[in-house]
Amino acid sequence: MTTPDVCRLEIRLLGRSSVLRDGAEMDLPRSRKARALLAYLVASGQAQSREHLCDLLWDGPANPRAELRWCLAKIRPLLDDETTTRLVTDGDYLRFHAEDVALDVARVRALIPSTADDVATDCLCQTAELLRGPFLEGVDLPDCYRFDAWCVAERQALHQLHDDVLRTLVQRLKDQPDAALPYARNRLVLDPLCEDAHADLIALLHAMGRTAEARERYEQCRRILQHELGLTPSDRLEQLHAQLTPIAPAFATPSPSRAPSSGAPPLVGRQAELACIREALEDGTPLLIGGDPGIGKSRLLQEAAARLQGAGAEVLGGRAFEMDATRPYAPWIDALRAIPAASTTIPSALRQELAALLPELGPAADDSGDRNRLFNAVAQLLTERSHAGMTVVVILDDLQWFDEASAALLHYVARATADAPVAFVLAARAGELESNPAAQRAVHALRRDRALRMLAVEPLSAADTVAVAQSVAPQVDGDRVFRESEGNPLFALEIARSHRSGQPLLGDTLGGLIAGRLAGVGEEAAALLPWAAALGRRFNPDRLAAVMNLPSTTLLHGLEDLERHAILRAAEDGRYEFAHDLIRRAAYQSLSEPRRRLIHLQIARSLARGVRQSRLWCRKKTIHLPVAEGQARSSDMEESLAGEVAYHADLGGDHALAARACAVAGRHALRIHAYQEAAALAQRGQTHLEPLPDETRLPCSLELLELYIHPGMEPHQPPDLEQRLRALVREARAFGTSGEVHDGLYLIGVLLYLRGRYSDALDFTVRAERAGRTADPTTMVQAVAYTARCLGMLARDMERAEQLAREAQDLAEQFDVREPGCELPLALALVAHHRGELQQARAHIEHALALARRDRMPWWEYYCLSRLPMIELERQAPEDALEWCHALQSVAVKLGDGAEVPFALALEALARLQHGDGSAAAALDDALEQLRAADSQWMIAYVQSLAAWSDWQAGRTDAARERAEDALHSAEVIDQANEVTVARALLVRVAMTAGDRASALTHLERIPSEAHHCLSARARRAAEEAAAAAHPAIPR
Amino acid sequence: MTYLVMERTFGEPMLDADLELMGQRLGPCLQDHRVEWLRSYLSHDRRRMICTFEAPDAEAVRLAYRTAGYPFERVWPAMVLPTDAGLAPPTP
Repeated sequence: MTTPDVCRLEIRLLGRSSVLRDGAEMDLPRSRKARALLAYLVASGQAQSREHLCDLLWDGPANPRAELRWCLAKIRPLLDDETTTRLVTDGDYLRFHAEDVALDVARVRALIPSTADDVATDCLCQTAELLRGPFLEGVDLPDCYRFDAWCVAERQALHQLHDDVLRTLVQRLKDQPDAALPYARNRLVLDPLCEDAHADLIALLHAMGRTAEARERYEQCRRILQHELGLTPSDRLEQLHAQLTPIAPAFATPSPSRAPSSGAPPLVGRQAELACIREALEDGTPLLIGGDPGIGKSRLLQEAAARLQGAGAEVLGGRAFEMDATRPYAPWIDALRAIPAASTTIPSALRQELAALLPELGPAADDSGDRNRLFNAVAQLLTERSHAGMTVVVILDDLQWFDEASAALLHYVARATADAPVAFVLAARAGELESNPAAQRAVHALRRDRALRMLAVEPLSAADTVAVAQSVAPQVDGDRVFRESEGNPLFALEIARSHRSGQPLLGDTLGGLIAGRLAGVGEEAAALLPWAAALGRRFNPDRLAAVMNLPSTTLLHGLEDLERHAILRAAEDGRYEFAHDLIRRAAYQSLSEPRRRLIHLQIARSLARGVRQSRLWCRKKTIHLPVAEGQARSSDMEESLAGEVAYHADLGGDHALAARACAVAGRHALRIHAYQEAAALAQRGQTHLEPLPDETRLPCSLELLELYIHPGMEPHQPPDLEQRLRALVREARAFGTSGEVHDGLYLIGVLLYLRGRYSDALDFTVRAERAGRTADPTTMVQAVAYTARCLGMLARDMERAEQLAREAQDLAEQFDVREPGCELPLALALVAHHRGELQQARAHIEHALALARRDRMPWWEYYCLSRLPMIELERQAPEDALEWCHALQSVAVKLGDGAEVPFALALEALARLQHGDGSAAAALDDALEQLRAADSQWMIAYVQSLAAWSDWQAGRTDAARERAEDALHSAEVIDQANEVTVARALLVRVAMTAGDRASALTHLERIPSEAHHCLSARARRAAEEAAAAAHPAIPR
Repeated sequence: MTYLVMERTFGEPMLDADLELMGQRLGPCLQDHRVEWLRSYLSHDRRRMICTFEAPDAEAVRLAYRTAGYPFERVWPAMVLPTDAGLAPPTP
């Protein structure tokens, strides 16, 4: 049979199942049974009776034939098209005709008819391409035992075939190691316990000159064999190893073992580096220390910290760990906790903001989506502490592992404290910063803004290396240590320790030495090691005991032993940490994949018990129930664990727990403004959804997508977010779960609201309400108030604005929503101002102003503030207006270019004019010139109308006419009915004063009709007064 | 109507998704303020942008951006220069 180059229909059953038509992947049915049916009909290639298929896949439902019909209806559109019917029914039998279909399983069997040995190499390469994963990956139906037996048998046969193909390819290509290497690696992925595959890989690496990698591989294989199978390496492996290490490392007879100190190793040399740190601190420039792992960066930081503390500086130190992406701000949290008695010494004004990071400070501020407030609080805290006469030094280690939020905070704080005595000393692994864009951005910014200095820590000199090694093992051969370690102090120490303890040397790499040392600990310590390593570089001993279910005496003995061997050391807050990350990594890597998975699974489940009590575990979080302060704090503590649950559940393969924990951790990340982390969690959570049953998958999908619906998440939103939500709503409808239908509609409503599509948003929230429960009251109030405020600002449809403002107010009262933002009071103020209720307008505006200030929204603060002198001027209260003008100007200058400053100056000049200060006219004209340059026609119209009124009252008729005409022109440019009315009314009054009745009549006639416009009280009054003034003089 | 030019800079390069979202959010606000978008120019490093509009006045553009929550550097009214005949007044 020949297969055309591009088949119209291609079916892949190896790896993730897929069906492609003309090269485009089609959506498979969600139901696993439908997918299993498709695979069975396609792969078996024979006619199957309906009865057989029902027995195969349905064991129990009342009507398996109906289920079968439903599944067939789902898969027919995938297999058949307009011209070809491939799924053919013949009486009670069904058969799939595969003649013109590219089916990967069939192709593999055609390429390898008997054994791999009999097949040409290029055919084997093609087969290896096709075998991209296990047969029917993810389509397991353990409850359908007939199908399961068939599937497992097929899978095993193909697995064996895959192994044969890869083995044969590696053998045949051994003279071309570059070509053979990927096959050797794939074979190891297929079976990590296959010693033969390890040996092949080691031989290939050696042949390619990658001897160090080959040695690492040997050690890994040796550990796996020992831990998993209790075996020692075979002769073949040992022979290979001997080729890799022609000169076995030999040291002098080891001296008797002695308990080493658990403290830090001595600092040897490094005088130039310490001098560089001192210089940077004196200059006030931040410093970044770079260097290879184990070169001594952290030890240098430790030394610098000790010296600075000795000199009376306040040192705030924190470090990132490789797993910290699940714990946003972790290095900063540690650094801030280093403040002595933080809970009492941190100023109360900053506590609410900082509580997002340090829950022990009390209740946190509401989440407003603006993380600058949090960043500002941290910067302010450091500045205030430094102004208290103390030099504050922030020391942050392992920058290459910083999460995005920590890196952004570093950038912000370093910039905001540029003028304060706050110093920054940072460290990062050489060459690893490039893989962390956020940390790299922070470094670039520090270079640009604060002339960041760089210090590269170089290997130690021969003499210093010897001194380091001999501080631990005085008898060790110093020259040899230097030669082996190449001046890397950690390596030198490991060689010395290995020598001192008399442990057999299990390799000549750093990893091998560490592994050897780990192998020398007692039984209790050895049991702890893998769990501690899986928990992370720094861990809490209570947690270790809880996840391992250990009695405390066993735990203490184990920990003491590990401390004595300088594998662990005590860290702050009663925690322990691995003496170096390379040590943790060695302990972790000694575990086989299945064991790692089990350990992570148990850790995840143990930690999850703590998090489940958190209020964030329940999605509907927006209505806060009153809780005692202590309770609130403890739940905040637990929430931060969710990231760790997600991390461990992910590695442990518990999809349901991982997806849920990602959602919980994502919500926590949102609360502390760590948006990139929240986006990463949303993405990671979604990778766990596929295997979940529908009843779990739907709510989980919604929870994860909900993470994107937040003002701070806009840059991270997937472009098809709305469509995905709509698809989930459709699915939920199909399954008849009204709760999810409501949630989905509600989320679409909020999304549209955030995107400014207010009327659509309202429509969806109303539909959500109809679909089930009540929508979140805070969002409802804000959505309605937002629309009212927009209409109020436009001063067009004021009736609707008023109606919506009242509706928002009623909703807020009904649901006890208090002060969600400045929208509602501002909308109420604009409505009251329009109606001429100036006292009420002022009260609402003052309220809105306080909220805009609370939420640090400078432009809205300006907008609210600008209405106050306007109200006072309209009330003819120039003194009160003047008071507001000063405040307005100080806010306006911070807003940069625009019309804000000239408008503030113009209002002040108007107040002075109204107060009788004629000299203010020049200032007014200056401000008007600036308003013209800024091209703000409404402001010109408003200011000129008020000025014209003052001129007219003072008898300056010509000036009044000129200004009123200018106001009219500007108002007409922007078609603003209120200002057109006021300006024309003024022109009527001016014309009447001048005795020009014809003009007065013309202006009066052209005043916008009340019937067509919703005029403000001010405009209506002006029009009425003009009509009254003109009326007796105008003949009817 | 006046021709208006708006200048913006971004701390981070703008991605296509950011631009699309900005368009979605700004659309209704621009419409409310009777601002018609004409054309935008994005620098190759995606950190600077010039947008041109037709609107009753510059303040309309500013208000639309303020209410949609997007910052900007400045907005100014402009005239259009034809290719070979000197200055041209803004087209009404």
